Amino acid sequence: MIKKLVLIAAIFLLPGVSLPGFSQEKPIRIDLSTIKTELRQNAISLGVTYLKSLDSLFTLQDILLAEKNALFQVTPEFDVLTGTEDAFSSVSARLSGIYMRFGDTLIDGVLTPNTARGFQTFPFSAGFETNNKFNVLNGIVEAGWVPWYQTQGNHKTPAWLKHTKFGLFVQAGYKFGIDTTGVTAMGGETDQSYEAPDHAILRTKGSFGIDTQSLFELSGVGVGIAGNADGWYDFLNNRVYYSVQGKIRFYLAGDKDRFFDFKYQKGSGAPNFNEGDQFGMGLTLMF
Amino acid sequence: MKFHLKNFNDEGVVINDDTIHSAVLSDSDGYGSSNSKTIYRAVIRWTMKKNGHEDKPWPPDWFDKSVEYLSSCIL
Repeated sequence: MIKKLVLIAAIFLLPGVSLPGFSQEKPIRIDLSTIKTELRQNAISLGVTYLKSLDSLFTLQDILLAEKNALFQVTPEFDVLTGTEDAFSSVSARLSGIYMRFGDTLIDGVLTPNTARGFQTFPFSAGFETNNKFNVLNGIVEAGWVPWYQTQGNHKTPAWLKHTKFGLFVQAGYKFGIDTTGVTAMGGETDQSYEAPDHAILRTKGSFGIDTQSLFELSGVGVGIAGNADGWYDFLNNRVYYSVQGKIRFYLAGDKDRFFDFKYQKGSGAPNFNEGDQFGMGLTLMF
Repeated sequence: MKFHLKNFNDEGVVINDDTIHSAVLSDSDGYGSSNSKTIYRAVIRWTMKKNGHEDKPWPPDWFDKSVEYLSSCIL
């Protein structure tokens, strides 16, 4: 147990140590949401996405391998989604990277990846996911395929399709049995997955998303819709999990960094795979 | 840089030396590291390396700065 706690502390303290040297102006996105869950309890959800490149963590340049028509780059990532009462909650820390395959072209005599045509990306990550009570801890390695067909130079792709995204992933890891808190999780915090503590994890995941951005304006406020659907197949327990989220988004003052959402979500996703639903509204400010 | 920004430009932003990267790129338009912000940075660095230039560290505030500012830092 002590070893596990030391491991968890190290995972979350390592990024924290580097914070004073980090000076990006928009490193943090805060999502303040008033959420009403299936238990009909009002809750405040605070989501923080913290993303930075290795050369912000360290004074050295991060890892980039440049090969013929391919590259490899690594980035650390730290996500927190937590809340009060029974709001969905999760925390993840991971080292993630990307491998890309692309065609190349000459622009003003300079050889460069041809992003005017579609290309293939293979994101991967290794890290931990937990909830805000730290009574669930999954060590996860994930690799996937995300085709990049949204490029504006690809005139054969329908315009509406460029507002979508798609990915397939394989996730493998281990679910640590660390719950010594004696606290009973409620509502959206309840672990409803069939993945047993101190057992291996092996899932495949499919994801689809759409973000129309501002479709039209109402009294100077841009209106759009956004949605995400994720499905998992748990190979070891022969179970299917899913999470679906839909939002009507109002862009404030024409600024895509400030928007107000009415949203509905069914299913929490990993690690709890809670099947409840939650709906509410939220204001997102990026600064 | 402007060639790649045009290809990620899904909001009709005017692309020139004064274009602010964050007006065009995003870290949430894909999945994980597969997003336009990460891909843009990777392809520019690939271009620098493959054309015999030094792969200089990017300034921490590049995302909220212009094409001209980033060029002056890494070229």
